[in-house]
Amino acid sequence: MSVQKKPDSDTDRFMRAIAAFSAAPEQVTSAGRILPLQAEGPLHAVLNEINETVLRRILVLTQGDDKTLVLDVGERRVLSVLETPSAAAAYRGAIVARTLVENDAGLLLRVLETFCAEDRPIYVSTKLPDPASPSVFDGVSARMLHDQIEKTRPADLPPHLDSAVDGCLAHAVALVAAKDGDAFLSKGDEDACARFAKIAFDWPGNPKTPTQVSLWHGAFEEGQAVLRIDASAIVIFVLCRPDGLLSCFTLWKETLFRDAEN
Amino acid sequence: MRKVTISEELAKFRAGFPGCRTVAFADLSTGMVLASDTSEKTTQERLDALCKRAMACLTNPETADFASAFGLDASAQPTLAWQAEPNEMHCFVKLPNPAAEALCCVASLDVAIDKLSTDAAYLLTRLASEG
Repeated sequence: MSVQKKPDSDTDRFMRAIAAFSAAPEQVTSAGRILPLQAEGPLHAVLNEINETVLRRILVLTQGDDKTLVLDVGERRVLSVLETPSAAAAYRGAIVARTLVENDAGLLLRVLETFCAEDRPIYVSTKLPDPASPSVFDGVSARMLHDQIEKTRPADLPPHLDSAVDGCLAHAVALVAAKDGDAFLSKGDEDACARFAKIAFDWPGNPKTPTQVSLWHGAFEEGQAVLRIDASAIVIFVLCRPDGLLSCFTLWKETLFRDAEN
Repeated sequence: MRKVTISEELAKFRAGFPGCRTVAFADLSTGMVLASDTSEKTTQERLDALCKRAMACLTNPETADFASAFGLDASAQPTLAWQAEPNEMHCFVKLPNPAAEALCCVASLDVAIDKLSTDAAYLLTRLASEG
């Protein structure tokens, strides 16, 4: 004779099994839900959050009382950046409040890296976006950001110059970085890069040249300007668009002389 | 009515930019500073060095090389140059060729560089046209 189990026992057993599968409770505070730590660091925690956001939401990421990054995310893509922390102020003009496209992956990654620079807990809260919805084909996906991380960074460019290069590209037609006359990094218009590479070869610069940022305007086509950055025995040439020369110059000035200005 | 001197014009210009320490009106063809206004007493040697720097910045072969590399006549010269260094910034504004007059400014890093350049170009044009 088989023993008839009581329905309640089955339900209890079932609930216990379900409970065993459920995720550990997330820590929630007034600032929002704390992002689960990733072994690779806080940047990957943010990328993971973006990758898990399928329905369109405004993600408000905060770190401490002073750092806030607000992203419009949907379909695992960052559609736009609505607010950047003050540490990423240099990128603000180039990235905030516009629909992002695939080419913005490098710039967006710099903003995320700047936000995640400190190894402190990151909290996230979500808001519903405005009804107007951009195309799901716009934006920068979590996968694109991972791919961007994987891209090899030029070994000869110190991190602070590397960050400024990405920030500067939004305002530039072309950029070339050279050391000892050898152009090791070229971005943007190929023809302009080739011309800069030749100038870098002809004018390799003096390693003793003090760190400085120089801009020349008025001798180039279509109101463009040439920027030359001398830093750490590296020479960087930038052909700036007319509407971006002040932003470019200011970005490099702040990158190299931030301490002196404060 | 008394005519305003170039030095007075320079003083008025500099007063509009608290971060501007020196402004000099120079002739880059001869390397001479024609008039200047400074926040602190300075020497002629320093003003001459500033003028020399403007010449090196605006008329040196490298900038001509830039121009020719970008498809322009090698005689094309920049009319505006900014140079930032750890402790100060230089702004040089020159009239287009063949004129050789220029304004040379030394300022702190936080000066409103865009407005400084625009106002300097306006003043330079006026000073040159008034002879």
